[in-house]
Amino acid sequence: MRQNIELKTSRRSFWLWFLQRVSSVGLIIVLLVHMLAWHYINPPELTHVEVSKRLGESIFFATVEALLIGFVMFHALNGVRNVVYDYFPKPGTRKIVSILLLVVGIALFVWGTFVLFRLVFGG
Amino acid sequence: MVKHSGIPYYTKRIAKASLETGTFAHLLHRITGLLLVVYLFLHMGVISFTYLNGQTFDDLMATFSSPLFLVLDLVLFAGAMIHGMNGMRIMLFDMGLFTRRQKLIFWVMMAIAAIAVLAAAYLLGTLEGWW
Amino acid sequence: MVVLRILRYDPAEDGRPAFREYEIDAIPGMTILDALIHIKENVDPSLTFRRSCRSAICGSCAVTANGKNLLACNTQLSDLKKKRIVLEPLPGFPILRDLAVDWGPFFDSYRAIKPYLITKSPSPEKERIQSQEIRKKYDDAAKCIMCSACTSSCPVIWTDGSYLGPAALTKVWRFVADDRDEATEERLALVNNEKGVWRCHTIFRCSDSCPKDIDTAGCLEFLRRMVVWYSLTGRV
Repeated sequence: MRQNIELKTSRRSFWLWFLQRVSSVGLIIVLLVHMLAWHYINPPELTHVEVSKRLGESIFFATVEALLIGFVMFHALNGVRNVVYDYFPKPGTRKIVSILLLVVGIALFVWGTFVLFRLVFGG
Repeated sequence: MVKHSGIPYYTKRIAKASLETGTFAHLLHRITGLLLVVYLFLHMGVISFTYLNGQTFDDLMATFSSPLFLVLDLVLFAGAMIHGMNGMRIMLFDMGLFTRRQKLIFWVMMAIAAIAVLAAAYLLGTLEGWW
Repeated sequence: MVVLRILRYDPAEDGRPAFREYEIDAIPGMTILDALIHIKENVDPSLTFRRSCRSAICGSCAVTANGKNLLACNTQLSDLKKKRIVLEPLPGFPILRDLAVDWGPFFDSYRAIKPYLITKSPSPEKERIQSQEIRKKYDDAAKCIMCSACTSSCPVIWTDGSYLGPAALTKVWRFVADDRDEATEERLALVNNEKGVWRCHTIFRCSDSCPKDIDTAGCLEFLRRMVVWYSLTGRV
């Protein structure tokens, strides 16, 4: 049975694939900075007081953490989306999951940076 | 006409195909990726919720410094290394390099990951005075 | 003595596909196709399979043998190095009968990517000339015999039939790389979506299973880099 497949350009699909690569490179760099800054070069004691003090010292630490949350959140949830797209070909399921992942991603990013900056500016 | 595809078929077939290097790498990438997502959620949840209360945070950090959790940290590092090195392998292909040498590149990347994990284990053991 | 374990399915009878075993005396040099023809002629005339040229150029006889997609006509029984050979119809496509699958979905996606030369400039007096260097660029992709061994070996196809698959995408690259073709942007726009290049996870089963040794995954990556470049410069 002949079926005509409709192929419409989706710039979003390109950007998601491309940003997955960009975020992976960003992730490697930021993760390295994170490990060095928190666990190797002059590491603070892992207590609430010390960690808060370190975050308050310079905006640099919080910025690194915020970037880390951003990159990792995009990379992780887009990765999950890729897996879901493989196993669930129904357009409806895909749409619901995509929206759900987007909402979860934004919510967690906002929550993470909120907690972070509350400590920077002494909450 | 009978269907010869779908998730039950996939599971049966992929188990056999996983003995091939390319498929093995793909599955390994997928599984480590999903495990890292689970870890990410746990990590963010636990840290951010206790962060607002100083005492709980300190107690938690003390628990995470116990040998059991340090070994789990090493497992996490291994997972991240496997995912990261294989990710770099995929990016090499995206740049048009070594597509005819993918099997060799996989084992090279895994060797690098193994060396990194062993080095990390050695470093951790030295710092904690395990040997 | 070799045992051929063949997945049999007859649409006229109720029931699921089931394996049936055939013992045959393997002569040195006997191919899988020879063995199938031997069974059909001497043991079980109801055995159904596709074949035509017997010289690895028509692309009709692709089957799954011991989990790998290959052409039955250019694989000898001794190449598989096993006394038991499991033959199944190509995965991912519906089974019509025994080893014959319904290639409808395969050719649907092939047709969707416009597998023909598109020109816009007026025809020159003689032919459209192409340099040897440019012909060499897509030599690999042009070897394709459309046996569907690559597309059906792709795990993405097994669960998501809407993916165009490596064979169709390699064909896109074949025309994109051809400088006589004048529809590059149109072609790249066709594959820049969730059915196209972005569904590939570089699992390499396509390259591994190609009987013509085409670097299918490599061709797909070439195509993907072009879509990336055209997207970034705002042309797709």
